[in-house]
Amino acid sequence: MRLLVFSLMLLLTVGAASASNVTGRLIRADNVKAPSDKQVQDIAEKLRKVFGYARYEQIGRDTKPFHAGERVKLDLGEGFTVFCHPKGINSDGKHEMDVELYSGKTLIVKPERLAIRPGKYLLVRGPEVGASLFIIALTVAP
Amino acid sequence: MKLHNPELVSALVDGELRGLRRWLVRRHLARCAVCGAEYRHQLHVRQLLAANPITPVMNESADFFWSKVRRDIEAQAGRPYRVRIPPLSLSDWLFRHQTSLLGAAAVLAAVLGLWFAARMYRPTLQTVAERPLPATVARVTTPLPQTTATVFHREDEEVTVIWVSGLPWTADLKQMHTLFATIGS
Repeated sequence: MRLLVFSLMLLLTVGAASASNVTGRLIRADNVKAPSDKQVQDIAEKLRKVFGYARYEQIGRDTKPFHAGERVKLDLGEGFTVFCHPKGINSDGKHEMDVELYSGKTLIVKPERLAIRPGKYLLVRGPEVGASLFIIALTVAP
Repeated sequence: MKLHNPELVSALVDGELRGLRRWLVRRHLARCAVCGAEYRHQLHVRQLLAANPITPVMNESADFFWSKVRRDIEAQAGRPYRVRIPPLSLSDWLFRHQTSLLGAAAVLAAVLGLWFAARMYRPTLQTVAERPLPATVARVTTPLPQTTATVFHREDEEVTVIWVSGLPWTADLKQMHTLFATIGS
């Protein structure tokens, strides 16, 4: 009995350790003369260099653990949804997955066989609404 | 030839005349009383000089002089004597050390040539390992009409960007949702 309990605990620990978290963030960029949102301070400089806007504001954020073969849904707010289909980890240590970005029920973009290195960012330039630009940032926790 | 010539008579006495000139001068002396007397006088003087040679008079005797020289030499025997070397002119110095100078110039030219060659043909530095990309995408699909998606990487920021172009602009979020719903249906 004790051996069984120990084995189960060991399996759970190993399983938890092998699970990774994928994080999706919906960010709005504009040129309003105001400081950027503190929630995007870690990525604001990168966004500024890529997209050129002055101010960035995080609209929504969602983090989910994922395992190979499990479909994960990230609800980022404002109708934006990201579906991730993890395929596993390749020989370079990158997490492979298929990603689908929806606005409501409309598929906007579908990068296939996305291989992302843990801790690095994948940025998707989304639609322009008014004077703002929506950006979706995906990252896998190391 | 002028035979009444005291120089010819003196040359005959000294034995400097030869051949025809000697015969002519001797024939003249046999016939000319003046030149003959001159010849006999000079010959007599020469004979007197040969019979009575001039003896140089020295203050000291020869033995004393050479003994004095020998004594000076023996006194300086064993004493180091420094021979003063005169300073060489630039041209003489260069001529004397031309081999060394040529060798030094050759070495300097070789060093300079190697240095210039190393600078000109310096191999470009190459990174040992290529910097890994933050993310890669095999294919990007954009179902919406007139839209395209391009994947590019920003090495300096370590991000991968999917740049979706052609998405319709909307004034606000509500209009965006409406538009996308219309496009998607």
